[in-house]
Amino acid sequence: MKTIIDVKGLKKSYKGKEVIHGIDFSVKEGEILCVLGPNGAGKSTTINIITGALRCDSGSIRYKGENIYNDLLGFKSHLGVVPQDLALYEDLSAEKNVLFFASLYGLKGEELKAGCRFALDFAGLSGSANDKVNTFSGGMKRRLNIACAIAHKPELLIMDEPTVGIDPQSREHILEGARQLCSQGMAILYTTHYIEEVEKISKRIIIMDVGGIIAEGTAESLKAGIERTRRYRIGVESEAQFDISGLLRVDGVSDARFKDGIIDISTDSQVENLNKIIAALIGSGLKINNINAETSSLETVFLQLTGKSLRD
Amino acid sequence: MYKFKQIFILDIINLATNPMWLFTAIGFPVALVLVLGFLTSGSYGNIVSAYDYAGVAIMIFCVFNVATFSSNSFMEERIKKPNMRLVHSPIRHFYIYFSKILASFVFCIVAYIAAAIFLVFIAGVNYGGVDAWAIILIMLLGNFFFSALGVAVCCILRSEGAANSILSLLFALFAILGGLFFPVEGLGKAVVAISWISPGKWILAACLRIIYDSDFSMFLPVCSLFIILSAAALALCGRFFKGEDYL
Amino acid sequence: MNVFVAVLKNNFLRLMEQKQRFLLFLALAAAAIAGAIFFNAKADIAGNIAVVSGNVVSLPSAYLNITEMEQPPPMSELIAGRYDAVVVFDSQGVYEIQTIKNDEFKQTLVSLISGQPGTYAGAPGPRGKGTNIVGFILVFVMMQGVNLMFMFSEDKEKKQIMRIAASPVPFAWYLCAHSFFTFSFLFFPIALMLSVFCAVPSIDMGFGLALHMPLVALLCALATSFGLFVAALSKTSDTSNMAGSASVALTSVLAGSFYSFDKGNKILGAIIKALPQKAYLSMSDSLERGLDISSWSIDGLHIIAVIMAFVLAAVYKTRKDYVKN
Repeated sequence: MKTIIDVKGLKKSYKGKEVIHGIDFSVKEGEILCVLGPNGAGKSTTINIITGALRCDSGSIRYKGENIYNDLLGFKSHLGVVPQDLALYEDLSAEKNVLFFASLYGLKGEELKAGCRFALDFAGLSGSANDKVNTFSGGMKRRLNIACAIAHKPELLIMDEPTVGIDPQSREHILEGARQLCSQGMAILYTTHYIEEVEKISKRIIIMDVGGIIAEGTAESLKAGIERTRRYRIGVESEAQFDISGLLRVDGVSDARFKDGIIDISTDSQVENLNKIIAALIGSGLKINNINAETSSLETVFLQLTGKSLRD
Repeated sequence: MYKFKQIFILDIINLATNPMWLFTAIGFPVALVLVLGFLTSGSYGNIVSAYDYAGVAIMIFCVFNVATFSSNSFMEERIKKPNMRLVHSPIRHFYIYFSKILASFVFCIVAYIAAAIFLVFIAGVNYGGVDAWAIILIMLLGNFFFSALGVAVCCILRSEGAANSILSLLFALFAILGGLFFPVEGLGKAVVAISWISPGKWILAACLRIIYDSDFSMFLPVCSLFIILSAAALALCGRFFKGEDYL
Repeated sequence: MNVFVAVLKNNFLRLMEQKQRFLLFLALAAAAIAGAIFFNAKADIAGNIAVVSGNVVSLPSAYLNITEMEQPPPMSELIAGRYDAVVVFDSQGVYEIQTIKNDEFKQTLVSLISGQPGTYAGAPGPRGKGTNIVGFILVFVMMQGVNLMFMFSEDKEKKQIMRIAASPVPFAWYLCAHSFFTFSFLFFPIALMLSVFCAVPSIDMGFGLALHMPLVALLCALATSFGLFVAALSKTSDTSNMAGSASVALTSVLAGSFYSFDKGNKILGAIIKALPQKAYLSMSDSLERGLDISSWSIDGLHIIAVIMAFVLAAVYKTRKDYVKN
């Protein structure tokens, strides 16, 4: 897969304070790269630099290997931006909004109409194309906000928190849409606060905080990175009597407790020992009712990496 | 050029679909001229009517007000956010502010010409007969300059509200000093001398000389000044416009 | 009471974020007062007559401001008001009067030239210097009243007002606080400036500070109530600003803030009489002439009634819009 956008050593300062500290990442064709981060992590600043609305102090941004500043307008014509705010003309119809914004990307005539149809279909708004935006619900406006960014079929789509404040149906529609666009070869840079969205749509994730990238990888690798200990919770017949010392002898097990028919076991996550644990339990004559392996969620990873303190 | 045309058309639509602005652009000048003309008509004889003076002076006051239209169309809350998309799209920044300047200019000039035709028809205001082209040209250049000024002040102050309140107070002062609400020439030498600091005064003087004396001595200087000032205002826009102000 | 203090404090902090707005108002208000004083000191209200006689004839200049010229001035100077008339004498002493003024003025001029006493009919009616000064300040204070209400308009535009509507405080207190704030930021700066000007002995302010203060206070109350009214009617601060400024400009000119119109029309005259600015100027004039309370109390009551009407209408409209029963 071709690399669509490649960012290296990006730095930006405001009033003498560095807010982006030399970040590197890239997005490939047909890939969704999710950027997670608390407020003030530098996500929007990074996006504004990539879209050319802000200039970086140092570093390089390459679009298909070319420095974007060599031909910024040329680069922008391959870029679609879904801003965090609803950037729509409320007094105009949905179709007029899409037609206008698409025309700024050079679309004309039949091509413009086709682009508009595609975008409105994508957003599920074909039936309301001629309705004024100020009559739309929050979810419809969010979907139109996306439609306005894709009518010209960009190669790189930047979606800045596109699902803020909408109902689950619209959110599902947007996430499914992002997956579809990606399957058609579009590269998507997607920022969000919603961790479950990340797990649904993206294979590769970047976690940003205080202007830098603090972790990068797949959801699984990120989780594995922070998991030193795995916990098993095993339900057995509650009347059973059991000596836990046999369990503590299993390779990797660091702790085991038995109470009210539940056995809690802590073990080194690097050691594959579930078979041995089960064998030990069965060998002791216990009947196992259920086994739960408690693995870390991405949310745990996120909170562990960025901390729990509130952000501005 | 195609992209510029698209932005320009939308800016015109935004201006022309706002009833408040339509009223301010057409109704306000007509109402003010008729009222002021009516009030002062008692002291005028048969040669020149009170409407003749008010018809020219108030139009000049309205030319000042083009600046408030352009600053509104540039940064009004209602359209500020969609304008953000313009910053992200592949168009020159120059297009963004120049389109607002041009749209306000075209909107106001059409509205003012409609108002002027109405005034000629209703109140017989004299705009110079065969020399009216010169008056129209002065108004055109003035319109363009004030339109550019409104956007330039917005770019510098980064707030449409602040730009508007400052400009409307300043224009009221200019209008009084320049004799746009009532003649100041009769108030003595000192007042006349100080009135020249108001641009309203030199535009009015240039127009009255053309209309009543066929004297074009101030025509070229006033036109040239507007062209130079417009270029300066555009340069200020270019210097101070930052796409990130919309972000 | 808490909401009152909270709104005042909040408004102050918001205004401080927009210092340039306020500072410019101060600068323009100072310029307006200074301009009014200057206009007052320098203005000639006698008729300005251009005479082309080749120094053959000399005209009495007690009533007129005569300018001797070799050539008649261009027509545009008559239109601009530089000259009220041009009198051209030929070598026999026969004259011709060229004027854009009415016949009454022409007749007066003829009498004056022929040596008969007469009064100049085209000049504006005599109005006191103090009244002229407050007349000039009037338009600025009214416009700034609309301007300062931008925080109320913004509360509506950005829906903060919904929080007030949802909170257990009386709506009237909230509007009262906005009004008090606007009034204070209009009154104190102007009062301070007037005090400074009054303290300079060489400046003629028409009347003393003791009269200027209550008059300015009344004006600020009028401006505040008008600002509140316009803001309550408009949906956005832009509309309120534009509509407010335009109506202030129109009504102030009509009321004769800058120039008193002697020859009005009956129908329009009646409309003008209803304008609070007209009542204000007339009240100021009566006070300046030292007339007793009976001559200005009607004007005073008129202004107070208008203020009450603006406030009540604003409260009613805002309650109707935001406090659903």
